[in-house]
Amino acid sequence: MANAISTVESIANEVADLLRHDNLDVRIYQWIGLAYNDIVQRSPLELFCTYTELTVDSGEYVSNAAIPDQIGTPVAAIFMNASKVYMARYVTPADYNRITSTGAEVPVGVVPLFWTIKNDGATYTLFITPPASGDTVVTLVWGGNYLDTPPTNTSILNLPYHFEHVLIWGAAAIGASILRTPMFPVYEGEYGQAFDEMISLVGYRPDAVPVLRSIKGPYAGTPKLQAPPRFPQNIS
Amino acid sequence: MAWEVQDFQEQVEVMTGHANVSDKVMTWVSRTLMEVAGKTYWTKQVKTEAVAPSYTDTPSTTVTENWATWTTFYTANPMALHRLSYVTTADVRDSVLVRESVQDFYAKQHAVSVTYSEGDADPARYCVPMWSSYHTGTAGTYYFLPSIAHYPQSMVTTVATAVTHLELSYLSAPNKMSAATGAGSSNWMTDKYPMVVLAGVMRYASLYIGDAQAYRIWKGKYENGLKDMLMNEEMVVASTPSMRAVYPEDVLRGGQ
Repeated sequence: MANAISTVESIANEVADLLRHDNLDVRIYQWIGLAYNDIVQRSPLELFCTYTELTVDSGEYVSNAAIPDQIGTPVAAIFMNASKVYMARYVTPADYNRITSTGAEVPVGVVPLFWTIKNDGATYTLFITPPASGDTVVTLVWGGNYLDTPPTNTSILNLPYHFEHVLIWGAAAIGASILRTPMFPVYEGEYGQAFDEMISLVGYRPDAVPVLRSIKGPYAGTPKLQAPPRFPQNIS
Repeated sequence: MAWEVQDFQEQVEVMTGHANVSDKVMTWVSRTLMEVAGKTYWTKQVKTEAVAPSYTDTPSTTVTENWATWTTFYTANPMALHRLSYVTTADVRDSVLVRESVQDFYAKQHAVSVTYSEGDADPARYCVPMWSSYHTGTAGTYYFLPSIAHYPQSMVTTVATAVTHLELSYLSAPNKMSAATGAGSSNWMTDKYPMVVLAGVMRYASLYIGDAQAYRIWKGKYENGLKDMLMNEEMVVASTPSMRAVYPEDVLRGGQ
């Protein structure tokens, strides 16, 4: 059973309690927004990944229509054509141009080998090469979900209940920096610790439990630091 | 008998000298429990569920939706796992495993055609669950999901009867305490380690009353308590040094 996510208003009440300060309403919402963006941008994208599905028509590229504007950080793309999966490699737009303009001649119908996303300043367009012989379905995984405007009292942020304490400490730390300056290190310390532990948890896998590692198994004897890889935070 | 929320409410009221903080204590208990469950990697909080997405001949949204339906109920949380076991009932030796992340797959399989089918050489039978956020916009229905967006046809047909063939291991979040669950609610953490939970709650209460000195005391007790908790849990589950001091090794191993 999942715990219901708190509204920003509810979180603001908790922040106000920690600061022993009431009636800050909108300003606390803004602190929460600031803390949230801090979390989003410092966390592994995995926690905030989302995906979209696109269809690449026969040929080279898919139009921007279906690509969200927020797609600043592509994480992965998985291509499917004729019931088979292809893991084409991401390349930068410059490399993509180089490949397609000077590369070896590749017949249509070969599976996509490279993909990129080009931004012309207004729109985003996904390209694949070589051109596909039939429609290719793309599952594009990307990171984002930052707040581009301050949240309101009824906002629901993209953070599950069991990580909300990170947000609360983060927002409280911002408030404490001016309202309870001598105590600021306390709030900032709680935020930093909670944040680090959240990061650790996001990378958590059952196999990475130290206890399980002491039992015979595929990861027996391996240090925790050699836990299986996560999503890349970005692709370069 | 159990250590219930109301016990913590009473203690906080006594220790802070503030009445009428019971609602806040309820919240603080929940916050503390979330933190405790996560930060100590409790094996007791690791759960494994069989999930049974209904395979269809259309390897696209139907699979995704079914998967989402199951996982919202079971995991609904990003602590969850990334471990997806493809288990055949016919041959447990083929039961492993596993997806860790798209990155594995990405690294191994880029630009390669993959056809999933039962019994194929590793890693061709891997599934590719992807983590995605998903929500319907209101509190309580806001989930992070693994999503299998597309299934190759061959796997669809191969494991068409795989009703219980997928297992999902994940670290679950405890249920929060709320007015709905009542002041009489408790869980294994409050029951077994009430002092640590109380210390965690008193951090919040100390800041609430503006007592920096008390905060530092309780913070110390909380952190020390957590370390002891983790040590104790690991001992019980795996290495059992306390038992080893009492029983000979071969007895512990079920031998002579």
